Amino acid sequence: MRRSLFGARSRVHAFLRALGRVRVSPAYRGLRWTSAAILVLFAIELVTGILLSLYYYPEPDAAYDTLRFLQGTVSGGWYMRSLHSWAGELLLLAVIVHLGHVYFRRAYAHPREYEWVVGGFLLLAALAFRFTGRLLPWDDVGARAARAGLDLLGTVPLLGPLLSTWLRGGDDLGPNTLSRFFATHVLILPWFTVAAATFHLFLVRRHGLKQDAGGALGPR
Amino acid sequence: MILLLKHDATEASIREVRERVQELGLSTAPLDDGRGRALEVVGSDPSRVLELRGLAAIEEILTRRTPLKGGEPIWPHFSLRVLILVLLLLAVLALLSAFLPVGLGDRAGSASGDALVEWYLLPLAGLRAILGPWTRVATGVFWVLFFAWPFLDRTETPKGRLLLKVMGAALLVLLFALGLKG
Repeated sequence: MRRSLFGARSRVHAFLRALGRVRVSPAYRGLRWTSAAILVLFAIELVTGILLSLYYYPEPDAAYDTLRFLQGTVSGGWYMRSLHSWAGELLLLAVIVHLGHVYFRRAYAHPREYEWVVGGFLLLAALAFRFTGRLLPWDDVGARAARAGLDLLGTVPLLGPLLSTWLRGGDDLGPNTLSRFFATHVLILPWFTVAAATFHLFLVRRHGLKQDAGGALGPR
Repeated sequence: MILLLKHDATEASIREVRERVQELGLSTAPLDDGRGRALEVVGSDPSRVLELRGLAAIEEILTRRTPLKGGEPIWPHFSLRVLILVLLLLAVLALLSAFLPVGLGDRAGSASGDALVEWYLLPLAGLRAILGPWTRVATGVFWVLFFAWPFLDRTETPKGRLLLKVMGAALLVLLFALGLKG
């Protein structure tokens, strides 16, 4: 009999054995896969974002220059920036696919209503990440996208006009806009997303998935 | 309750466990764990099997809340499947980043150019083009319905569920059409 590195009675072995007793219905594998994709892409965003922030300076002219330096001079800088951007696009797509999957499988049914609600806030966070990140290079395309986005944000009732005014920080895009977009993208949204995602996963763990066959880690 | 038997349990010790379970007025059913070492305890009071703790063949006694029905184990089957898919995703990401790198446009100027709506905001732009000042009402209604949906959906019948799926598909088509308009 082969002996594992950790021994037959280690906690790792016991945990893996416990996982082996929990079964996943084929009908809901997609939900777990999109969840895994979202988590992995978010981790990539965090890591690449931290690396990019080592060079970035959130002031209009300096922002553009730092990114030009990153793309042209820093070894692998262009690749890191591309990874960050593409991971963001794929993350948003994965969140939307995950949401669609939950809807069409009715995986939000009682008692999982609040998982849907928290998931909705995570969708908004993903959209906000993309929107705020677009302006940070301070290039022409980003500025036009930010102007259009702030204009559209004003059409959302109640909070829309307030958010739009606060984010713009003036009559038009300027230093205030960039610093607020940067603070939102790098400070407010990551903490909010981690907290909301943790709560979301806690609820999923507590309730299990709708179809799960139960087992030692199944729903109560 | 589930009885987990040791890998190296002898036939005699396993038989002893089964006999002791029957003496308690319970019975065992094998669980599909591939090695015949997991037994589900069935009876009016399965928790009595806890009295058998300490028997040589028993490794663990687990409580269960709902019975297993089909599917595949999370470890290692499903985990490996997810790992492969995640690696594929990472490969796609690496290739996209390498062959379609993100560029840097001209420096942002003070003059405003044409609006450039990002793809995820196109439906909202399309809605505004159609509804004008009523966009605010429509988006408000949409988000209220979105967050309240699980509390509103009390469908129980298959026809009702089919209707919900049709509604979801119709919404996707509508969002796509609004995106084209935007």
